[in-house]
Amino acid sequence: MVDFLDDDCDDDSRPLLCGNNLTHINTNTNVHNYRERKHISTKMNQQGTDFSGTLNYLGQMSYRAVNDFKSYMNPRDYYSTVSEEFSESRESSFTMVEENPRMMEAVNGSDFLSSKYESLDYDVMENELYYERERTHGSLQHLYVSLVRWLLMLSIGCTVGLFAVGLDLAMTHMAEGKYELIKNTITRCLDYGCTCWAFLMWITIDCSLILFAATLAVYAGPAACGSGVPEIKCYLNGVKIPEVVRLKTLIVKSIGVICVVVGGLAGGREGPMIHIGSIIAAGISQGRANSVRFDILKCFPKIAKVFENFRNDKEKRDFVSAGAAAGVSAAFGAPIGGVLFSLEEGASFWNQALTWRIFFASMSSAFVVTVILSAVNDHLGAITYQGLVNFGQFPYENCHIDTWDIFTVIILGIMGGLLGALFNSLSFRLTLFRRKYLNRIRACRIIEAVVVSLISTTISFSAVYFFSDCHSLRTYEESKYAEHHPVQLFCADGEYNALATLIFTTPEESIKKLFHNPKLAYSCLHLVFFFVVYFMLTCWVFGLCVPAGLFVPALLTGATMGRSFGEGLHALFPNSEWVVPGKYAVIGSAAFLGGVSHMTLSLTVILIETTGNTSYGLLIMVTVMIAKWIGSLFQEGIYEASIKLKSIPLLSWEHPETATNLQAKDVMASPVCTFQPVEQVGKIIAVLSHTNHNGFPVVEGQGNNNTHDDHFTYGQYRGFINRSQLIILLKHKVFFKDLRAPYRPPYLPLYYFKTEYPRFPSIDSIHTTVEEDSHFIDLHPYMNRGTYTVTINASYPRIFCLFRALGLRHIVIVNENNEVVGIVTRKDLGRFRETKRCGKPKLEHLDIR
Amino acid sequence: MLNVWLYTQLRFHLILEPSKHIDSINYADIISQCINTIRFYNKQLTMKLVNIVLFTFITGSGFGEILVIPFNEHHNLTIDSNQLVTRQKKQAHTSKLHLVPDATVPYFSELSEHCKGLLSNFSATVSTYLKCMTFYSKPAKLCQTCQYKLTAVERAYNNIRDDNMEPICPKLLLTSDSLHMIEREYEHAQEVWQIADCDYCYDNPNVEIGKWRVSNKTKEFFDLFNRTIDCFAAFLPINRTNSTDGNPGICPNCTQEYSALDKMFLSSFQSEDKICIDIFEAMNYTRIVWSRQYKCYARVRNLAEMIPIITLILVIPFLFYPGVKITMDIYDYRQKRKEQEFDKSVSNDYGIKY
Repeated sequence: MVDFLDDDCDDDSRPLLCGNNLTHINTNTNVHNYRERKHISTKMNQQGTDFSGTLNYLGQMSYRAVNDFKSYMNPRDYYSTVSEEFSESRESSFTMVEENPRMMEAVNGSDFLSSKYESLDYDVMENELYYERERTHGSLQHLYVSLVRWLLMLSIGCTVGLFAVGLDLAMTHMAEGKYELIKNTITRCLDYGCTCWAFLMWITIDCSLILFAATLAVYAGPAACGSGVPEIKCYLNGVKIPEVVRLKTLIVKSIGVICVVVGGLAGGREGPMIHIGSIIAAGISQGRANSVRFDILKCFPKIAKVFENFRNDKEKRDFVSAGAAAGVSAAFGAPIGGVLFSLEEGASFWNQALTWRIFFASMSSAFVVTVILSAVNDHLGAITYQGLVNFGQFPYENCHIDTWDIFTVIILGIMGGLLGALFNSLSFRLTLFRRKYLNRIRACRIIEAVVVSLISTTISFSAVYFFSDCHSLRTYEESKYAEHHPVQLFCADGEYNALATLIFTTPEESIKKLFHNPKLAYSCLHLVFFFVVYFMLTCWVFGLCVPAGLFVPALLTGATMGRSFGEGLHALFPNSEWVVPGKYAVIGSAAFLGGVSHMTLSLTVILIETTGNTSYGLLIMVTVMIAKWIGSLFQEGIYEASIKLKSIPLLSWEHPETATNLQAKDVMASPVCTFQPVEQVGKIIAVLSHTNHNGFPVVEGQGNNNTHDDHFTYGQYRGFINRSQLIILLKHKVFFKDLRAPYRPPYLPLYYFKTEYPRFPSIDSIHTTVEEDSHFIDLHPYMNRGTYTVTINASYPRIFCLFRALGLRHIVIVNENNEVVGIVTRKDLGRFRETKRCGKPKLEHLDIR
Repeated sequence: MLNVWLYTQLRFHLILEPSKHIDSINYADIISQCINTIRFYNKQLTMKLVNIVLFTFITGSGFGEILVIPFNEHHNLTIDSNQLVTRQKKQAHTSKLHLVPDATVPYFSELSEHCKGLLSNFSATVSTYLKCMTFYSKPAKLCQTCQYKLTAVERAYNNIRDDNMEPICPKLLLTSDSLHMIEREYEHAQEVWQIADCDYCYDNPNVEIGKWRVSNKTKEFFDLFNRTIDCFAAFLPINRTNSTDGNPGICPNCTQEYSALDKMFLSSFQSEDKICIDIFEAMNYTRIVWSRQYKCYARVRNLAEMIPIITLILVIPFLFYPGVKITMDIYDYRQKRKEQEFDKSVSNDYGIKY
């Protein structure tokens, strides 16, 4: 049976009956379509409007989507709920599909937004309960909370550091053991003629490790696939990716990344470290791990009461960005780079105090790593070992920078940009293919990972076996980074195979060697070969369902590029002092990673910090800048591209330029599900179970369409309430029987809302009796009365800015009488995307599926 | 007076040769001497009089430096140093002169005979040592040849440093100038020894005492090495020109010796961090001669065995990806057919046509 992995969200299968997600879901909508849509909706009464949303939805959904829809639900149930109008409209819908066959093929591209991704509530729910708590909190209480916040930052940093060191030690020792074993076996076998078996042994080790990692990732935690950087980026931007910060994902990710690195796949541990850091941060800051049913609020209710303050998306996001920074910091030994990475790639919301706290977490993580590594390496008390990946210090005499270097750096930057663009477009195509064919069967994904491992091992072996890049051992001994014994193979006695020595180590060690080995340690031709192969392998591995990062493989690819450039330059100008191939290796790695990921600031700083060399800073900056410019001529960075491919509604820093003339009425979703301040339980349950909206405006008065502006209005706006709150209210049955009776149930304390966070029960788990359905809920104390609203004539950029800067999830659109006319969510904004065709920007409207 | 000098910049440098007794220099004499010299060289100076000459004398070195500050006669000698600085800044025209020592001024400070002896001893030992190290670096035998010369250097240095007879001596010799030649040479001698990792040829060497006991491993190694080299020599063809084409005599006959040497090296040295350069170079040389020059050692690639296996594996992705694509396409096609049938049945139930 085929599993549709990408569609595993339950919410999709529920018929969408009312409200905001519906009307804007329609596919090839452009702005003009709005009139037609409104025409339909205004024709009907409120009850009918809900259906009209559905009609519209169905009518303009693609063929495939309709079929999915049908297969998910029992058709009879569906037809029984829908009135006759539906069938008419449905008929017309299919004629439409036939007219427009282009839509059928649009399933696999990146030209829609997935509706399975929910947003996070970065806006604090400021309701009566919140005010009440704030009133009872004295200034001492605030001090206490911020003290705990600092302590949490410290413990996040330390835990991430500990975890990173543990992973690193496991990985390094296992990898060393593996390579030592294989090297010895091959060497012995060359003399006794059993090379074939040595090769098979190597393949078996690698493939079984990758098989294990892939199986674990595919079955146990699909969220752990890949580097994790795009996921964290989305999380910090405000998109909730299912399972991304769970304990399960953490475990799968850590075990998987060990297997991948030891298994010799072209994947790094740095991306996963960032993800792991984020998960740890999320777990610690919330004081809970749902998978093992641990909740600090329930276990130590007295002491841990302060954790209530951190149980919201906003606080959690801050901690997660600190965790990501701590991850980078531990992985590279680059605390400042970590903070900047968090700023550049991750955090969309930023302020000075938060930066300082994040820097603190980042530093403490780096510190823990240093202390433990020093202790492990018999220098207890010394704080000398810098980070897990330390690319080694450059001696002073190699730091010579000549004027010529500006030109070479520009050339390398251009090369990096072009190759990065090539890399991105290859991986884009590969991902499309994977989505279309491979990802549908789980076994296929596992087999693919094993195939990649098989090929990469075979290529490594062939390189080792067929090429002899022999150099005198003396040059090897000269180099400072010759911890591993040289590999001889087919070289003469007293010589070593430089290429094999590169292959028989972890990528980090290879980078170190490329950076620091003296001139002529490698032959240019072999480096080019290594570059091509590693380029392909990195590209191939990116997007596999194994926890593997892109950072180090891309750095290694770039370092090979730069090094071969440097060696070539050395051949051209043999007597020039400024040609130091190691220098070009550093710059090449920066250029390539810059061209691939389009990172700028953080990449430069990370490289400066890991090489401990500020004098290359200028060169690295120039090359990264040029690589990014060249790269963005063709495509966006690989993280953005993969986010786009996953159809995640990420809001970038800037709104699309061409969208400036849009207004709220053009982007808003128009039939809105609203509640009265005192609402009947039955209606709430009906709405909640028939829609998947997460926020509902609370209005007073009935809606009508008699305003002069032709917009259907839904009564005067009073406040805003979230689905999660309603569910908690329903669960605890805060009902009252009679509207006119003076009895009102007491307020449900804030505690109940906080303990359930972040996984609120689904509406299906709420059971009410028929009698209770006729009861009422008073929403007054629970709704947020001070939310942001904009008027119907607000411009798109204005709404975008509000969303981006404040981290909103919904914004209610009101008319001049403060009557609700529509609602805008992240997806409504994200579906306007600018594409460039032949240099001309064009505004694209994406579907939401 | 000395203080004032420290705070101000030097304007004139004068290299003096002090009178015989260094410690009892008559300052007044020197000052007047200086003034004379300066006047002599400085007639073009526009100042009326060079009033004050401040000078310092680096103890005993014989090189004095003199500061000449032109200003009024009425000023006292003990002026405030700060004033002096500001004043100097104003007078931009003060020129800088390097004065050649006057013939009458003694140029070279006389070291005592004792000091001279120490110095010459040290320089002699250092030069012998470096000569030895340089000469025996190719082929490397330096660790086993020059060890006692290093001891001599060490002792000569220690003699200077710990000299009790004339406490001024170490001061004069070691720290009185900016070059620090003795210190520098001593460090260089040590450094060369350390870079060569020569200590690793010996069992717990003690440089100063001169305890140089060659370790058993080293002895064993050179035993084997000499045997190998002897073997090479024995089977070396008379005409050495064609030795690049490999040597039929050496390879079969010396394999035993060579592999014994190689094995010994691998087992007892390879795993160590540092290997004494004598051993390292000897081994390297033997290996290169053996495999490059005599071409005795060559592993052969078994292409017939490996190429089919590797090709077989490399073909897998070319089967895998199209295979998946075709399977999925067929699956999709069938699914579509099924859906169409389903739609038909639905449409029949509800009377919808499309």
